[in-house]
Amino acid sequence: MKYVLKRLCSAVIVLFVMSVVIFLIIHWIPGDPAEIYAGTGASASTVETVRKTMGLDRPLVVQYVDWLKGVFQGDFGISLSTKEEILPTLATKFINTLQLSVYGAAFAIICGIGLGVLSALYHNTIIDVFSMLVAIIGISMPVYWVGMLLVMVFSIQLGIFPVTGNETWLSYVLPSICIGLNSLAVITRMTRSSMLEVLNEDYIVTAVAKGLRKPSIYFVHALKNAMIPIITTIGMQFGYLMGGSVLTETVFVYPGLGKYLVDSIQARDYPAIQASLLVLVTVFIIVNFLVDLAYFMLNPRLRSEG
Amino acid sequence: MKTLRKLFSNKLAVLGGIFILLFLLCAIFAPWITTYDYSVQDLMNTKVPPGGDHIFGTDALGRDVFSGVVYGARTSLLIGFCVLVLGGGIGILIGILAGYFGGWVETVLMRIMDSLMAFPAILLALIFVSILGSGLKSAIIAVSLAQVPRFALIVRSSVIQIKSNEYVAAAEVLGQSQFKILFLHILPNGIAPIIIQASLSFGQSLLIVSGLGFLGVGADPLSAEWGAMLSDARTYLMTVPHLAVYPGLAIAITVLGFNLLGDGLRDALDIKNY
Repeated sequence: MKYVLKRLCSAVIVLFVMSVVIFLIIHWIPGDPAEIYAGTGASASTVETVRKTMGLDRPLVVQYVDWLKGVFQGDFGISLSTKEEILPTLATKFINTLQLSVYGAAFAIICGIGLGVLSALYHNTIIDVFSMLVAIIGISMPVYWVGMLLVMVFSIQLGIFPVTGNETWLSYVLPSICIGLNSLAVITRMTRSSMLEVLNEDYIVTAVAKGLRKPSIYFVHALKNAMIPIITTIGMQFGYLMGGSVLTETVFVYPGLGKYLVDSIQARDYPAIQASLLVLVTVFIIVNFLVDLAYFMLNPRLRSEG
Repeated sequence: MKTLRKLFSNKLAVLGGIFILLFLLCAIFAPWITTYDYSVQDLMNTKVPPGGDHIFGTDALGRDVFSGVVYGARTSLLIGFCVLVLGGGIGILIGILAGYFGGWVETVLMRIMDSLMAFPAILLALIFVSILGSGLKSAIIAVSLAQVPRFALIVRSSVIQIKSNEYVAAAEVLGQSQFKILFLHILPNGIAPIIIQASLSFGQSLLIVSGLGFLGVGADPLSAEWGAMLSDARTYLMTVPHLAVYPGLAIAITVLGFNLLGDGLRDALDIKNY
């Protein structure tokens, strides 16, 4: 229990620090926040009105508390470029990104564990070499370039999948592969090394000697014991996947949170930047905490200590 | 020597070394390799397919893609170098301090490192870019920051290991200054994991900085930077597909080189614990 509490504490602290950093963005950038909110070319009196109505003349601490209070009530402010409430847009974009991340994660987990197990079972054969090649290339290729190549081959040349958007289920295929490729590589490597370690353990050797059927040895005994590090890796990867969504979504013009963030940065739409960063960071911290929790549940040694 | 022989017998590591050599040669000899100036636009010869005078073709502004790719190696070398000096330097310093002094110094520093490490570098970079504004400089600072915890963690663990050696105790007894002990006795003995991390970090930072260039918040869109070139290429994916091929290939080969070398070094030096 102590372990979980400690983790929870540090998650809350990190979240607090990040929220302060994100809040301060508007004050750190060069220029007067009131002028930025008022927009370019606003008259001096408009800027003053904005300063008064938004409370920018008050102490920073008061402003921060106010901002946070708003966030908790779902009030992320008003977008500078669309002049609309941020929350509704943010919510749809968030769901879109979550959807894409889940598909990408599913692809990475299924193929990653599959490839990893195969390459451990056929250690030092052509299968092993092939999956290690996939793994090392998977972490070396830029995500967005993979996306562009996929579009060039499967959308433009062969015309199987749509180039952009998220209208039909077909349009999810390429972005999911693109966003998941990196994680697939990492999961494959982890599964392989974890499986290789377990396969050398005495109880596996014994199981083989006892004449148990091979598939049951590998999938029931070995994989189960190899799972702890793999699950930790998967959990970490899910967070990274949501971070990597920025690049994938830009390639496929997918209406998600990552694309929204990049568009907002380019438009200098600071309330929208703050809102999307806050959501991404929060999700990330929550996922990391859940991974720690899973690690704790799966690892009996930690449980008995706590 | 044994390490070197082991490294050279690893085919993949050698391949990685060749890729890196190719990259360095392009970066150093760029003006002699190329015949065209990438910054010169030739609106009479736009979107020329690869072959002939322009072996990689030209882009929508008539710039020679081959020159862009070769000069891009220079930009990338600069990026990697800056990240290693900045991120590596700070990370090593933090790692040494935490490992040597222990106690609350270690707890505080390592907590901060853990939290930084937990975020994907691209997300940290985007936070930075929103504050500092777009540009190569903010991209490099942001990516360096993301590399700091990786160096700090490995340096700390090797410092803790080295600290318990007798020669460190001897130096302490002899009354040498802590500064001397840290930088003359401890750091040189923990250099191997740092070199491996440097190789991997070089590749990673290249991926992220070029990613920022691709998003249009990194390097100047008109400069010879691989990510920025790909961002340009995305606009013409339908009509001029060759634009997307070469800069991407350049990034992939360079990063692959550094990753293969890093893995090879790890095997050759027989270091597992990170």
